[in-house]
Amino acid sequence: MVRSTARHSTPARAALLAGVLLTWAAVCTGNAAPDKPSKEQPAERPDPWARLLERGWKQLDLVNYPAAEESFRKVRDGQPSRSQRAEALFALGHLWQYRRPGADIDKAVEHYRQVAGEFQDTPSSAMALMALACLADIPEYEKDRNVGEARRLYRRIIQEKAGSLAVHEAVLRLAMTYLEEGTDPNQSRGIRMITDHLMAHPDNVLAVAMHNQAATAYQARGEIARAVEQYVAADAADERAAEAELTDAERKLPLKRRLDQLAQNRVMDAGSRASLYFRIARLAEQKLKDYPLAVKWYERIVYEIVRDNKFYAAKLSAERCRKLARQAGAEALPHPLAGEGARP
Amino acid sequence: MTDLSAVEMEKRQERKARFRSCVGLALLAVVTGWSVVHVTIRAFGPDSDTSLIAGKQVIRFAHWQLEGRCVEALNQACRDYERLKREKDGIDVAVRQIEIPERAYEQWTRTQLIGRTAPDLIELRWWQDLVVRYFVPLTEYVEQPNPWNEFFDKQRDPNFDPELVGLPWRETYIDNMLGGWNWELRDYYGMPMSLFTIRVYANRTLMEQAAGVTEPPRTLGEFMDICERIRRYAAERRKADPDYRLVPIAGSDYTASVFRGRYWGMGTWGMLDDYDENCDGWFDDAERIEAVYGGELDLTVEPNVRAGHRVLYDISRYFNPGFMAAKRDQSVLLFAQSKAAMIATGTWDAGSLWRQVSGDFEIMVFDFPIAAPDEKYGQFLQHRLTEAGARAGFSMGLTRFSQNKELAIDFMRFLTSRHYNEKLNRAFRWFPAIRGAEPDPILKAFRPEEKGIYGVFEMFINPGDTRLRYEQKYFGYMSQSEPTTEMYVQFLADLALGTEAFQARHSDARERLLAERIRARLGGEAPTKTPYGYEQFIQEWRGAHYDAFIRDYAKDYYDLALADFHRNYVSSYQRVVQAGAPIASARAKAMRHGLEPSIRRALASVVLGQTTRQAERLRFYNSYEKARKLKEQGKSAVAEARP
Repeated sequence: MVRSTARHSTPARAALLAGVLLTWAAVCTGNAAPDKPSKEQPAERPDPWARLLERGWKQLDLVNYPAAEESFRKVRDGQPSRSQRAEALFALGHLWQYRRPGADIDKAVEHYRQVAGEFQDTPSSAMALMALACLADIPEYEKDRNVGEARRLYRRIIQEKAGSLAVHEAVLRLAMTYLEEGTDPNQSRGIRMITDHLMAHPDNVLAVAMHNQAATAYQARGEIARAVEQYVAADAADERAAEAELTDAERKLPLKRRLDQLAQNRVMDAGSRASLYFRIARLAEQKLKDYPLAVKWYERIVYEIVRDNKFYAAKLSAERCRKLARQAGAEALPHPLAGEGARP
Repeated sequence: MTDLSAVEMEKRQERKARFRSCVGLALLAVVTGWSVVHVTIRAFGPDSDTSLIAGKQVIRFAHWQLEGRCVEALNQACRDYERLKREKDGIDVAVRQIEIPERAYEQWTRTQLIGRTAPDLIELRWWQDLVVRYFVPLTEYVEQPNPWNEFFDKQRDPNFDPELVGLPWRETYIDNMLGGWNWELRDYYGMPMSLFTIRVYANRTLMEQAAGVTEPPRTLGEFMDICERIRRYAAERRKADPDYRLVPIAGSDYTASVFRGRYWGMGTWGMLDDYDENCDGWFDDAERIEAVYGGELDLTVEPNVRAGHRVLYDISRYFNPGFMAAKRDQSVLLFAQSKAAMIATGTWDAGSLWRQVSGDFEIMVFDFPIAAPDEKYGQFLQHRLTEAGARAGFSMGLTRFSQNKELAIDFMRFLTSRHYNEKLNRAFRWFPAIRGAEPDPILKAFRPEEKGIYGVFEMFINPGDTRLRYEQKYFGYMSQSEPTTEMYVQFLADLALGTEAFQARHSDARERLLAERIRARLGGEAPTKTPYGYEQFIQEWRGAHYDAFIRDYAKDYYDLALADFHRNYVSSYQRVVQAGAPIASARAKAMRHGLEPSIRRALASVVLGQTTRQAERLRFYNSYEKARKLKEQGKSAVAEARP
């Protein structure tokens, strides 16, 4: 007995203890399968399937494909709600489509189809249909495009998934398949689809992109006044959405600060806004000869965009157009920040 | 005997076999032991790659900035952060710097990222494919204030200036952190640390000695005049001392490209109003091929193109001979050794230049001068190039599988707090990226200049064969030696012999062109009968040299541009496809969490980006079709001009 105790020296005992502790820690923190909901668990405890789904998406964000796949598979093969199973299948489709290396489009399509076919009553089905449509519309290789199939799926989303977020994107993408044909009547049809949808949903999440497409199409047709109208509408839609997210305190800020805050909430970054404003101003100046309008948009770059290469060119152009406006007997209104000592 | 020896032999062989297996086992044991020790040291040693060393959280960052004092200054920053983080938040942290030579950087990072062994922070390059897959979008971080600004401000002064405190991190940057913004992916992916601009460095001592000036030139004319005075001064000195070497400007392929980067944009700005058909503020590839094949743009006679090239040629006459074959280091050395009075380079060379000069002479820094209205090129070079859009660089990205994301971000916030960014960049001798951070006094002239125009036009389609051809021919144009006085005398003598005899001796197209022009200028008379000075001859020669270059290249452009354009159009499809991943990810988030503000912006923004690119491709396709038909019809002015 004494000998046996002596054999277990202090370091050995410490190692043994460490081993036990480590095993215990591993058991506690291991990737165990979710517990089946049991009677002992409190009712407010988060749904284990939801936790697994969340963990799967998180692992996907971390580019840990095997762990993400394992989580989604467990949900798919377990006893979750219909909606959760649909989400797991959709997530598996997403994973197979975007994992690198090892993407498998056939598997992705199989999963998306299952969601779109068997789980039509779930939110995932609209997203699965959109994923299928985009795979037909914008596949890995351009030669594999199947515009007919893409259109069929976009239409199906528009008809069957009213109220879903995917509808806006389906309308935009369907319209673009017509716009790209470049000639009438399809081009007009594409523009009409977008403008009709914007009439019904002026503040939909993709309104900026929609106005932008309509503007580009009008410009390609040489309808410059309409193009300018749509470019201006794109900026207005962006500003409205940004404004809606301001807090009460932010709404009361001085104009300069409020515009800075608005800029942060916008979809368009500073560079995209500068490009858009420059284009509106140049179209107004060069094509429409509407110099007050040109001044307005050049000056928006000068006063509202913090840093952009077009700043000085816009400043020079605004000065030039202001003179031209005066010569034509018109007066360009000063920018609201012009009197506030803002640059320049 | 035979039996014995056979048994003996068998025993020997057995012993040998046993020995061999023992050696093998011993070797295996040694290798295993070495591996265990190596892995243990790698895993738990002071330079361990694990996220935890002796109870400390570890952040690792990799970069390729090995020049000057970067590594040393960043090491100091790591130690300062470790100390201050313990003081501020009671957190024990160890920061490890991984310096990778630039040549191996691309391969190293790709391997590390794909193998999921990459450090927490990696200096970003222009990687779309890697960024979308392996780096964390930073919007949620950049919208929060940088707590280190408050910490340092409070430490330095109890009544601290709250200017940056409470501002979103993004807004504390001079460029609003646009250096970290990824236009394609519509999100912030980088955390930059320094701002870079380009200027002319001059040796004030030499400028005074050789040109009698102590102030920077105000116009291009003054600049050229200074160069000419330095050239003459050097020529005079060489008479007394044949070994004396001094050139006005240190030249190399690098400095030539720096000058081109500035003066080309200035010289061709005027083309915007003539050719920007869609009013987007660029004279882009699509508009260019339509203009060239439609005959509206003739590169051989376009005055802006001529001005852009000729000004660069004129400046390059003050470079050291053979500059196009010299490398950047050689030109820096020429300047540091007072063998060149000026050099054009960026902020990144400031630290090493000042160190190399180390008090031998005073350095003066100035911006590239523009021409006064009444000077040569005054009609074209009216505005400087703007730096309003200068973006901060030395940008670090956060890898997705970093185990200490928050801490890594905190470390970057530490480096980009006003106080520390100033300290760090003073040590680098680079320009700080943060508002209010004061640069080293010698770098004040590098402050980005807002006033100016931007480059709108390029001579080639990039990437493509036109670029290769242009670079080849531009190299030939710029690096050509000019005729000496002896060659000039011989040329005129040959010309006096009559056309046939001249052509028998001169087969070069440029020389024949020059001969025609000289004859025409002199009313068909033999030049020897009329005074025709060397200076005038050189001016004529330069004109002919340019025309020969541009005609040759214009022909190449006509032959190759359409194919280049089409190739780029086809490959641009991949960029549309690449945008699909962030869209799908934003869609999935919207499905799970609804349209909360950040998700709304992300979804709307990535869809806008992709659909804009699709519309752009459509425009490019239409331009291609139009240009193709025009080319087939042979309506180009270039085609008509060809014999």
